[in-house]
Amino acid sequence: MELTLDRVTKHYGSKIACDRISLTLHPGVYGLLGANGAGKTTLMRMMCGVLVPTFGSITYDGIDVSCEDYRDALGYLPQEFGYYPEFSALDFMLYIATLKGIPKLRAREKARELLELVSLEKEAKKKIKTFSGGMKQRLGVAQSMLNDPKILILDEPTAGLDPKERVRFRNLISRLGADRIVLLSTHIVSDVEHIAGTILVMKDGRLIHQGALEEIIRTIEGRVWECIVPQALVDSLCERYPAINMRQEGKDVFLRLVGDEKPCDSAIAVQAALEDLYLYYFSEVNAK
Amino acid sequence: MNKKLKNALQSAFEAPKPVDKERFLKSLRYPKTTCWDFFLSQFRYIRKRVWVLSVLIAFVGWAIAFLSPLTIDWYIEGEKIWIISAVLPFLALLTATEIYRSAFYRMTELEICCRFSLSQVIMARTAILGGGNFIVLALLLTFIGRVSPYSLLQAAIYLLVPYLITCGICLLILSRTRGSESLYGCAAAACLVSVANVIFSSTMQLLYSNPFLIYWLLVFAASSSLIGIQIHHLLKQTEDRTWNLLLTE
Repeated sequence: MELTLDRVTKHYGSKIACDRISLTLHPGVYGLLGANGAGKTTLMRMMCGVLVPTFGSITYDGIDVSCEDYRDALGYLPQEFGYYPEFSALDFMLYIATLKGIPKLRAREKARELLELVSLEKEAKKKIKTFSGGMKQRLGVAQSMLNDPKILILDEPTAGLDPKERVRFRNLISRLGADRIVLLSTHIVSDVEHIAGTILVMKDGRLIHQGALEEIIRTIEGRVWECIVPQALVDSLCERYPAINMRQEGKDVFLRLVGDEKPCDSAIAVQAALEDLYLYYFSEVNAK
Repeated sequence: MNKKLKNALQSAFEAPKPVDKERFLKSLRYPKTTCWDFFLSQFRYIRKRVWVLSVLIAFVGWAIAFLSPLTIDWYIEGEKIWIISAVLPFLALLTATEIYRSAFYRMTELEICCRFSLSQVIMARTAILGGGNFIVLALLLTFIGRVSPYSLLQAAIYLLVPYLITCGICLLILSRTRGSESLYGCAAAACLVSVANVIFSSTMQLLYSNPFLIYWLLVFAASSSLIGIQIHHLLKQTEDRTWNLLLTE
């Protein structure tokens, strides 16, 4: 089971949304990190066959992304999706099941099972238009799993979910990653930190890092600083270094900063976390 | 096995609880639906209003053709065709908007990546709706053909031209705009074609005369070509999977 991206490129006129991305994914959970406009959604859309790459190829066990067999193995949750207004949650699931080629009886059984999994069994017959954002998101996750996909691509699956639901989904995605390829993108760094075995970092359409959490973090080891400084210094430090954490401590201020050099004499280097890396690469202060 | 014995055994011994049912079901390669099953399933997802309007138009056609002389003093027989053809743009409007439903409700992205993808969904919808419209138009022609002074070919052309013009314009609008604006545009086009029928009713006799038939044929051919081009464009758009470019640009 192998999903291969070979020099996948997408141009929109002169803008390069994805630039020669080559990847090989095996069963497991992959977390895609990047700022807005980094090209995450474009990459995911190409992997789902929604967009055609300008250049390069995407194959799953040798099957091209444009083939029916590829789509048969795919589950996808778009960042935003609509629904037909007359649909209830169950109608929606059955409609998607029809498109996924699941026989009627099996579809009904599977739809109910998945609605239960995402705690929507009581709302199965309610119209989707009455649902909250979080409920719609849960429904989206449920539909993506209808065909028991071998490739599961989730674009911001935890957006709009409350913390309890987020934890539930994280655990569910973790379990799903045991025997399939799961790729998820999110802005919530802690989600990726908790469940992704491999982290992919995208910036300006390019894949700048890929590896396990420890490997990725190693790139900014020694560049994360903590210090307690007088109030007067805070503004000038925050202008020069991305601040991850700031808290008032009496008359002084505690700061956690990311930077190549020691920000002030009192600063001490501390262990880096994924959030530090995210800020290091994507903060406007430190636009590298 | 004897049914009684079977029941007795069932009541005497409790069935063991399933072990590893989930894993077994996962490994089971259940048969997938065929293209034909998929096509048939799409009937369920055509909105009822389309069928209701189709039946209503067929009924109106029948009533105008056969009941009207009893109640209304028709100016001329040609007026029957004129009235029916003024209603048909609304059928065209519903048909065109139904074909483009996925885009209105932002379902394209989900539908593209399913086994039966968006282009197949659109083809199924087009075939079903086209079939439904064909039946309605055939019925109307049969009704009109029995009372009309015109030949069947002439009656068909006079009846179909407003329908085809509306279909063509609606598909053109839908392929170039997104969201509710396109729906308003289509509704306006349907109303315009229908109202034009009413406005020109005083010149109807002249327009239905033989020297004008060539112009009707030309408009018929032009609007049919426009529909053909738009359907081709739509399928090409879905095959190229560029429907969602608006979201990314």
